Amino acid sequence: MAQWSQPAYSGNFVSQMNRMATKNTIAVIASTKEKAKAVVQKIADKNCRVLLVSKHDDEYLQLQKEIQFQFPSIEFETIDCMKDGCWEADVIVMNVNEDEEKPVAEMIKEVAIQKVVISFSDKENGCCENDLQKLLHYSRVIKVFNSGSASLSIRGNDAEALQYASSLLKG
Amino acid sequence: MYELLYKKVSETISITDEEFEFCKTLFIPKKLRKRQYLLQEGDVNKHTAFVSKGLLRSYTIDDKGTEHILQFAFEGWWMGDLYSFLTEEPSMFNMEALEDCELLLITKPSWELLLDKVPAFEKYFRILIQNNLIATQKRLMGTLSETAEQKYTNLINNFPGCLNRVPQHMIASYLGITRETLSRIRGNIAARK
Repeated sequence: MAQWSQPAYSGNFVSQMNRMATKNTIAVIASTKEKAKAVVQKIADKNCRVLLVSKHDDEYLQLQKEIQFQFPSIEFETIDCMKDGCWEADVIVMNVNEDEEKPVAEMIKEVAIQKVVISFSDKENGCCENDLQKLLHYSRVIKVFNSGSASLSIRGNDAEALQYASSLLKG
Repeated sequence: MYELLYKKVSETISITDEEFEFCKTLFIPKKLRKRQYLLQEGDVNKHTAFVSKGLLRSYTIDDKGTEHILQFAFEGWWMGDLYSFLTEEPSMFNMEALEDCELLLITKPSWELLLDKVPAFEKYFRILIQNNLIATQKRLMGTLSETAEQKYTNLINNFPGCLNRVPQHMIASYLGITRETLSRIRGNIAARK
């Protein structure tokens, strides 16, 4: 197959996304309730609809109640099918264990095309952004490393997606 | 996910499998639930949408709070505010799912890349825009010169599935008539059969 390029985005994508009336749907995929909570708390005050991929078990229902108590205006729902959740999403945030990253990427890659995919990692020596980008070849992959303190290290090859992830998680 | 897009594109232009495979890498697969918005007034229309499944409407709201429906988009149709998409100016329209939808969205940078790399798509979108212009002119002329009954008859002749899928008040809004007028027209047509 011939070498096809991928689109270059213009610079106003981030500012537009942040002041839009239309809400972005952000799918959150997490290994544990704590990992889900860590992500949702970072994005809850943004103008978005949060779609948590979960099996609707008691633990996640409890999390939903906690989040809705803490952020009364949040639009928060759960969905049990990961592929459908990511299909609905405009942006996908993964906070999964290192060994789960590859199988999750395999499951969502078909519906993650051209979407910003943000993946959290505890260790900087884990799967790097280029490894995940290879798995999600047509997505705009961003890696976020928890560097222990409150600061986050955010990396990726797509400048605009990087800017968006920074504004979403730090802003 | 891409079958209907391939079918529609192939009806207009000839493209290779390789070109269509590239095309697939540029479209954002997006599910929209009933009553969710693809776009709200005041936002820039960043995507043009191909409807693989479901039904969308675009509408505007006037100063009195009355909705005016501009367009419905059924399976195989495109939906977007071309002015906003091309100029990156805020849109005057809202775009809402009337049914659960499966869409394929394309951004302006991806669209430009597609036109650049697969010139056959230049022809496809030229024909699409020509047809849109013709339909817009017909709709404008209909609004200016046709009776309410003619407008209704044209709608059901052109889009027979519309009556089963679109609520009556939205059909009235699309035709620019009141619900009562629509009801009377339907009654008159039924009485003549």
